[in-house]
Amino acid sequence: MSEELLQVAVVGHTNTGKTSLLRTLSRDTDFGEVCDAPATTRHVESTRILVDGEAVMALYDTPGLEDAPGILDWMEARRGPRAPGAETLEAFLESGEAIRRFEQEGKVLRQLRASHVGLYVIDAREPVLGKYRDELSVLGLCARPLVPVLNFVAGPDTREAEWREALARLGLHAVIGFDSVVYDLQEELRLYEKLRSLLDRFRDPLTRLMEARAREAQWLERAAAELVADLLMDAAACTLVVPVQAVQDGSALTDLQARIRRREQECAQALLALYRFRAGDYAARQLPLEDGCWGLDLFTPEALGHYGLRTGEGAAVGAAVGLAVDILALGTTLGAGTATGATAGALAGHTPGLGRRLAQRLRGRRELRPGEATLRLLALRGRQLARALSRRGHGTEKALELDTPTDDAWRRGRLPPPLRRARLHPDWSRLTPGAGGLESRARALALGELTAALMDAADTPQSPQTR
Amino acid sequence: MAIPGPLGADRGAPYSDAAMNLTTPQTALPRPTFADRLTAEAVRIHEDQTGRVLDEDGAWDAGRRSGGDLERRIIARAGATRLGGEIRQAAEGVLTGARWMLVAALALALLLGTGAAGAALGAPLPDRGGQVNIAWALGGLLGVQTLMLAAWAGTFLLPSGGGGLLGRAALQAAGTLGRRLLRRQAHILALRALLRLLGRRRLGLCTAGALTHALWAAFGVGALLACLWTLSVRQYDFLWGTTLLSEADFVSLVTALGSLPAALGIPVPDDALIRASRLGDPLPAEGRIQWSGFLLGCLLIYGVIPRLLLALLCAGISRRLAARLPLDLTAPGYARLVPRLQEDHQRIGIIDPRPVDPPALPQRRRPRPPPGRGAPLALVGYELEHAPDHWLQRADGSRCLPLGQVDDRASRRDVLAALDALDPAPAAVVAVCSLARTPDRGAESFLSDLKARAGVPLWVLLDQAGTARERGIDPQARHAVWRDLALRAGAERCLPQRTPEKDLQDAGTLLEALEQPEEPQP
Repeated sequence: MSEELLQVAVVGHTNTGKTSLLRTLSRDTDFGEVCDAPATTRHVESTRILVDGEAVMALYDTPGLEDAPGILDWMEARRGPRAPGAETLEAFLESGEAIRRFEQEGKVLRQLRASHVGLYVIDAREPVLGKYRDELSVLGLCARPLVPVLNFVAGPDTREAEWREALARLGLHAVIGFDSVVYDLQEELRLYEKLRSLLDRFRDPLTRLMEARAREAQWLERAAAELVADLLMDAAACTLVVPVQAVQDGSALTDLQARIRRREQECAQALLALYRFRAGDYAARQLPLEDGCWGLDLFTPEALGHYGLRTGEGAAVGAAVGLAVDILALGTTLGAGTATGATAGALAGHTPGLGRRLAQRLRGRRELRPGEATLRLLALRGRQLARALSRRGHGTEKALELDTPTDDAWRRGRLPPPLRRARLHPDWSRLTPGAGGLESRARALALGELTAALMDAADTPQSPQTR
Repeated sequence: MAIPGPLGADRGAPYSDAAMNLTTPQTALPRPTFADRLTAEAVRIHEDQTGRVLDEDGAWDAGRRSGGDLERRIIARAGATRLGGEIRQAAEGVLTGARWMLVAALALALLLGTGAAGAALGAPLPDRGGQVNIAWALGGLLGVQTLMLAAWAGTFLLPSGGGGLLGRAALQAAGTLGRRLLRRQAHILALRALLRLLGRRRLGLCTAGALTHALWAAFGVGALLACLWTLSVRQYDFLWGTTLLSEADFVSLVTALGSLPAALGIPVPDDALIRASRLGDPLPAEGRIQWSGFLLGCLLIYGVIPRLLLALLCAGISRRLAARLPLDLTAPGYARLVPRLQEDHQRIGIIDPRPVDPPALPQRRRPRPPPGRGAPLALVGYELEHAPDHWLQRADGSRCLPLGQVDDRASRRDVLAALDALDPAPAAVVAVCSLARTPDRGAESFLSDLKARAGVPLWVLLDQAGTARERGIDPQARHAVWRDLALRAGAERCLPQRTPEKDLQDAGTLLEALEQPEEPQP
């Protein structure tokens, strides 16, 4: 299929988020340079969007239009008050002015003329000013369809309605709202849909792109849920067998906590990579997980409080003071109401554990594992990170900050059955030394169930937090 | 454990592909086979175990170059790793071994069947040698089988799927045995991947089913052969007896069971013979052939044939399923490969480099007599937020003279014309700009126009710091950029010196500045 490739120029006033839009559309956090200042991009840079390794669209990032009235003045001085046309533009581009004073604008106009369609990016937080009309009339000289794209529409100070009205008065009704910072699949699909209706020649590649994006979103959602589920299985099943002294002097707890922290960090990294955010350079400028809430230690009372987990009872108290652990030793376990389920399971023969535990008890060893509150916390954080990443545009410069999640699914009630089952199978956990049951069918089934549970318990849409 | 289906399916796949290719040119690449997926799965298991992704440049390249969808790329990459190559070879060995294990298991089942037949026929009524209780023998040979068949059918109703306990147990046993027997890593990985793939949902159901039925069929054949042999070389009298049932019930039961074998031409006892064979009656000698036929026919029809058919059916289905079993691409082990295998964009780079900085605008100046003392300030609003409500509109007429607000080309002209018409000249012309706007070259050219046309000092007043702050803009940084721009455009003063917290409410700052003409510009 060596057909012509759809060429899309991204144009607009300076500092409206053209490069951000391009980053978000191409899922490329490192494309170009983004900064809240005028004329950050002064060159034309291009990227191609691939579906299954095949290019379906070329996007061109252009410098901002800064002096459209100046160009119109120049044209009027040359041509008189007669309305400028395509030949005026031709004359302008060939004139010395287009190289000297208006070189930046010249680049934009040349690129738009060389493309099939232009996305006219508008910062929807800006007031509707007359200068945009001047810009649109200059761009109109290129005789290419223009799709106005309202950027930053997800924020509280958007003036989307005003903009739509003003653009409608100029005859531009096909306006797309697309926030390059707060990503929304539907918005992206609408954008491509609009291009498809404007450019019938490119119907096929655009349809493929839309299908690929929708498919990818589903895949991402499931894969992210599975990553979090895997973390939870590992944490729930994790059991360390330690000498009694290690429990008493706290070194066993430190070890367990370190294992769980490391495992959570791995999961976070995997999620970042999954959504194609750079894990390597997050500490420098993107997604500093150590900052803000994400840096909250798993085992502090603040972390539990932050996630709305009550710290006043049972295992949660232990978690709050750093003892996020049940000490599963016979004698305490059999008596304790908290572990009745586990014990019943062990007695029912699901684990060969009972005899082994007895033996260990006799040899002066204890089993340590993370408490329920820790599991709840991991679940809340994992889900929240996955959700935030799925809503994060690749054009976002600001670090990801997560606030208290709004859903109650994991805060109260019993843990979901697959997790309770995992509690009985120490060999399901990567954190248990020498675990051999990672590939077992039972773990795979439980993982599938837990993944489904994580995906089902969709919480209410949150206010955008990634701004 | 060897399942002939999945293995044979490898060879069948290319043919079905040829047909597909005619309609969909996109899938011109060969479709991945079961062995391909097995390799990918084994590599994934290895990576999951060690917690480290195999980092071989050649393999990544192969995956990226292979084109096509994600699964293809993952498979190509796994096959290109060194471990993948070893696993591919090991898989052959494992499969051969598995086939032998299947043969052994079938032979074992056959022997068990023989043993069961021997037990059923060899333990006749103790005090009367050579006599066999027909119902007892039949029940011993077919009863458990039939119950297990019903249980197997019942497992389809279970949510997690059963697929035959015997088959599952056999798979498990084979796995355990294999792990003990195999020494090399690649072999173990291949075996685990095989078991894992065969355990996947419907495929697992069918594989376990096929195994279960094959083993029971072997059992049935063993029993049949043993009966055939024993009945050929020994003489039995077949009897029956009942305490609870009536004779008619028993007769109709035997007739019903015998109707299928009879349809195949196997001799079965008739009514009279059945009644005559009751325990305690004088024995009719001529009934032996019919009774033997009945026993063998029942074994064949109810024991062997259904199991054989079901085994073939399950094997066929599992073969089809195995050929098109997709990898579980959302599994963390695969998902983490995606960013490196499937590029979703390709940067082309800069195609039109940044321009040299545009030349400074020419500074022209309209000659104008210096303003008199007490002359007012001329105010121009430039791209202000909430322009109609801005204080500029209400500025006091004696000290400040609002000329209007600018937000496009037409309003620029109007303001410049109003400035031209101003007589006498103002003390200075003040451009009130908004910190919420991004300073651009359009603003610069307007300010320098303003200065050129005014012929009096140009001041720039930066307003709306509060609005900018609310929008998340850093007013300090923005202030600095505006100030640079104002100086480039030739402004004499840029006010206020320090960025205020809030939007200005009136012209106070300006009037103060007017009182202190000597304010130094940093």
